[in-house]
Amino acid sequence: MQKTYAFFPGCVLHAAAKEAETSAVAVAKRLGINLKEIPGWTCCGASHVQDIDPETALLANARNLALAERMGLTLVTACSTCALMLRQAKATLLDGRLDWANERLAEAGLKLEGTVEVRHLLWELADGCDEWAAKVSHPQAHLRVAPFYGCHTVRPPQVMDYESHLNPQSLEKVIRACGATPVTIPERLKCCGFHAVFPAETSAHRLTASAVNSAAEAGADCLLTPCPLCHMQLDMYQPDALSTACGDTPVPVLHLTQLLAMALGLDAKAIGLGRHIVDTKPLLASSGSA
Amino acid sequence: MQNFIFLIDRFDGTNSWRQRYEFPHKPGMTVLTCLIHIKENLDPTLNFTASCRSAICGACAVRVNGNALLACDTMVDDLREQWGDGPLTVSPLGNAEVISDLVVKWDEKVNRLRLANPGLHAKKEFSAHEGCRQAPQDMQAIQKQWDCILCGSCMSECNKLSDSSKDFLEPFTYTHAARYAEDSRSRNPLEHMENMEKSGMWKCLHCMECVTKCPKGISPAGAIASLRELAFKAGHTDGPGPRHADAFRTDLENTGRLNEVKLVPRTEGMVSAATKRLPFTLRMFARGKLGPVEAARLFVADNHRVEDHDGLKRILKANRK
Amino acid sequence: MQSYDIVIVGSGGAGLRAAVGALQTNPDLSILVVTKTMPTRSATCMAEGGINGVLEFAGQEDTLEAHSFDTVKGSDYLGDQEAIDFFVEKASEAVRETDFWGTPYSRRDDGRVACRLMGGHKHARTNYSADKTGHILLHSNFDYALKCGVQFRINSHLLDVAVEDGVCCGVVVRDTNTGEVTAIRSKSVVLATGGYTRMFWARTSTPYIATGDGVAAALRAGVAFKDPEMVQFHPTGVANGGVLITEAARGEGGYLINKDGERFMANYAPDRMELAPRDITARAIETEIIEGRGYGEGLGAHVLLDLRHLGRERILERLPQIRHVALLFENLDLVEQPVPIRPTAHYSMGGIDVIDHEHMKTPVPGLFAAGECSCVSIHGANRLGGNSLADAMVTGKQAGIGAASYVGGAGLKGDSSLEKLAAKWRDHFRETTARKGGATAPELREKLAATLWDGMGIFRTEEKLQAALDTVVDLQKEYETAVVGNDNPVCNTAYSHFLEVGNIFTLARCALVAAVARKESRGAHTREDFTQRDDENFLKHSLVTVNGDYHLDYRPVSINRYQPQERKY
Repeated sequence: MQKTYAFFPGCVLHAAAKEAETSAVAVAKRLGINLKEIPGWTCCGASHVQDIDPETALLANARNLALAERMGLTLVTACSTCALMLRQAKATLLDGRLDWANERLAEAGLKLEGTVEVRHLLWELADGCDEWAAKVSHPQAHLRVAPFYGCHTVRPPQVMDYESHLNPQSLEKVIRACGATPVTIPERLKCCGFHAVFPAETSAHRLTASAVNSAAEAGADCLLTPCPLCHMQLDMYQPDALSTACGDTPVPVLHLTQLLAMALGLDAKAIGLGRHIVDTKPLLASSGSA
Repeated sequence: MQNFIFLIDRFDGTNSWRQRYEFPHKPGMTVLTCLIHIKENLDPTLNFTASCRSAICGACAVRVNGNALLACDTMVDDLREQWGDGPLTVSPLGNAEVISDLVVKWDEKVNRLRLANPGLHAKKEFSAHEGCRQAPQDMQAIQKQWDCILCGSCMSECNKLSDSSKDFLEPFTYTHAARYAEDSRSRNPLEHMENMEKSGMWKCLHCMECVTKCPKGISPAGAIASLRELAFKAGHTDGPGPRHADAFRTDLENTGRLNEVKLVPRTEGMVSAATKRLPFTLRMFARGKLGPVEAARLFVADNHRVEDHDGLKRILKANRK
Repeated sequence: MQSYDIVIVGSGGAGLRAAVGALQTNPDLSILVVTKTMPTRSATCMAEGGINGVLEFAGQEDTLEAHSFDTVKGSDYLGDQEAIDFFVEKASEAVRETDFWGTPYSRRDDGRVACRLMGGHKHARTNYSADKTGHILLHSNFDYALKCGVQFRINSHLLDVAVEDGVCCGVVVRDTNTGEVTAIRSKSVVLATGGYTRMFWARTSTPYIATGDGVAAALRAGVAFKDPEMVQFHPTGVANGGVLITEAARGEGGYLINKDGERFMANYAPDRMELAPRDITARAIETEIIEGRGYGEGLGAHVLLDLRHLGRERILERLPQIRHVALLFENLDLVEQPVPIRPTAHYSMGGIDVIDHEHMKTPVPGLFAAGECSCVSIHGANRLGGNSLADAMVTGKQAGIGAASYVGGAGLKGDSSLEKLAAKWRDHFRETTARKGGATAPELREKLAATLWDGMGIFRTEEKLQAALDTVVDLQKEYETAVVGNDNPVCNTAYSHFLEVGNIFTLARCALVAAVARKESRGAHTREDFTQRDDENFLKHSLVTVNGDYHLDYRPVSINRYQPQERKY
């Protein structure tokens, strides 16, 4: 069954987290999901533009939504902050700012009805679990995986209302479908610190270290996140975080789609495990997969 | 229905323990009626605070299974739908000093609230004798933030406060600052923002716990955002917070997408980018996160502009008219 | 010993306004607000309707005189007219002043503060902020108090007011956090501790903390409790506990139904039906229950408020808050089921005897009172909607000014009285918390509530009142040996509540003493055996003092303008 989505990769998937994009695309292809990149999509504002210039951010996202709507497809993004910004923008626009936005979108020949759905790739994968589980050829039974949801994946629940924000299970469901074992850590629903890594660097690093240390203590082989920004924070900044907070056991961090790609036995290059800061080789050592 | 089982985090001033209370299920009980039942029938030593029992005084916020809520406004049957019929763990609000059991200390929180300069300093045309004038929509613009009942739910799971309260305030404090800063009657909105700027306004992690936990549907994170906007528009553009945000906006406007290579120097300056961040950059090169050639190109030139970038520019320009 | 110029007890609307009023009179004064909870937990936050005050503008038909007359008439002529004239003038000022401080009032299109018409008023003069005026006013006063630098002592429970040589010299408080009993020396004390409606524990709309601690402390300090029998009942509280179902439910067209499925208001107010005034509706509901046409028994007896015919859409749109209350307290959805309701104790008209309305002085020099705990009297035998918030603002400010003006000529003294009282309370904690076996305060409190509801509720008779008084005397004896059940000094909220229950017993007995003796019907005091108002014998305030025994005295009402006439609407 072929499903087609308007794909909104988000800036990071085109830059530091290229491996998240290649793995997402490869996984989608294997699962019969067609991710059609939205031509001309722009940065969602990442919550930062929203802070200093909310109208610019709102219009940029009105444009993003209109571009997806023009494709007649559901928008899917692989980034939690993008998902929140786009969903929040849609809600704001539908709450009385649609005409205002459309007057301006007309300058680019665009019009937004507000009918476009915005979904997180995680939700598609969790919903389709029962279908694709059969395609898992390389069950990752040797892996103990600590899910790290990322704030914007579930909060605020008024906007991100896919599942309970207090006790979400979508990641656990995907982990199990990949044959791996979920390991719960206290930081499962906590913040990685990414959005304030510059103004509140020490706090951000301590939060990162706390998740990493808990994962290590819980005997997890890796952390898993559906958000490439959490990934950047947990992986790229992990050496700084561990030195700030005196942690000594690095823990590799996987993108959601990397775990899936491993379980589906996809091409190692697409999975991109070599592009991580924290060494991911231990994850492969005994598995023989990928 | 199964009995209610509450596991309550107790503290008597010296010792801490978790105590189990079991009592018969009755439909329609709130967390508060359960606590009262325990205190008046099972254990008079249990301490908690409550006053109005109708969600307007803010006295009875506690945490259930780690999440803040108003005890009087939460049905235990609803909690069971979320958590199942097993024991519920009840603990005092997070990020607060515990006096005993579920009672937390407010003194320091109140003193920190003073930093917001609460209280209106009205425009010159108004007087205590005549009062003020305000358009209905201007009142509505601040109305939501006035729903704050100082229950403390927004601070309980705030990730920034959990890490450190030395450089960040309870989220409701920013809400208080914003409600005066955004009041059309206010003489000098900046006087409510300036202390916030010095007290962590740019350090919010955007973890969205405050928005999620507020029982009144207020967004303290939104208040922080509006204070940031006010600061930025008033020319307070220096510092890693505003510079970081401005870098995103610049990229969005110039090419449509983020230029990661320029982000650090724009946020922290060239010197920091070349020295403090050097190990980080080298790590990125070493692990193939970023190619040196690509980095150089991004630094010198920029991202390629997105398809129909002109359209984006026209849209934004139309808004500035 | 800690010393202050002014100690204010209570952090609701009146206490906060008093603190600001004092500091604005003299910013150099040292002022402490002592409060048994975090500020802003008070009953003020529960007021919804608005704050009365006649504002001046082109085309305004309302006048201060009209507000004054409506208040006098509403009080059933037990209000002091000079004080009411002063009050309405200051109430108008209070609205403008709080607007200037930042209270976000709802607005008319021209930017003026919006107002609505409330029962008993001839004009729309109840200024509001949506349906949360009390909350908004409380918080803007709190904010302004912070701005003025007001200092708080949070979680300190008032034990006693100290008086030496007939002059107020401070307070003794118990720090709930630590259990420490502390004497605080001060030149003046403002009591702003709120009402005493919690004597009707299971049937009141007011918060748990409205236990009249200040009135009881003032009584122990020798100050009379004025008009204690005057407690206002609101017709519609939820059957389970008494939280208010606001008048909007009936305003939108809700039906009141008895056990026989009958809209019984047809028998009481055939023209206005459910929209009859509060007191008539309250009496009608209570009559149905007494005559056996209600549901249930005892304090849980009730009639039904049926809103189902309004339809889901209208309920969701217009009455979401009421639906929420029904869900929380009765566990039912009023879209599908009628709500059990019954009248509920709502406001204390009586309170600490205030003899000077301009400075809110009590007869003890240096002791002032404000807000619901005080009684000038502005509300007499019945308070009008919207006058309670105005009272908190006006009397709070005036008490603050009064105290600030007083301390100039006063000194700090009374150490020995203060220490003696503190020692007494330290012993009290030791003695009461050591008790084993006996009734608990919550048990006695429930008995008191049931006794008062039956004996001093909406319908009163000599026989019922006397029986209630006898029971209360017995219960009070039982209280003398009741157990606390916790001897830890740290945060002993069981002991705090034990003290509160002791206070409401004292106050209930005062109210019964006054109610038995008031052989007439006036305002909230409805005697079935004396159905008429008796101006010849009872146009006077009851004054109860406690000195071992309970002593009743009277003082004439001040009448300078409006001669009593029949109260008809």
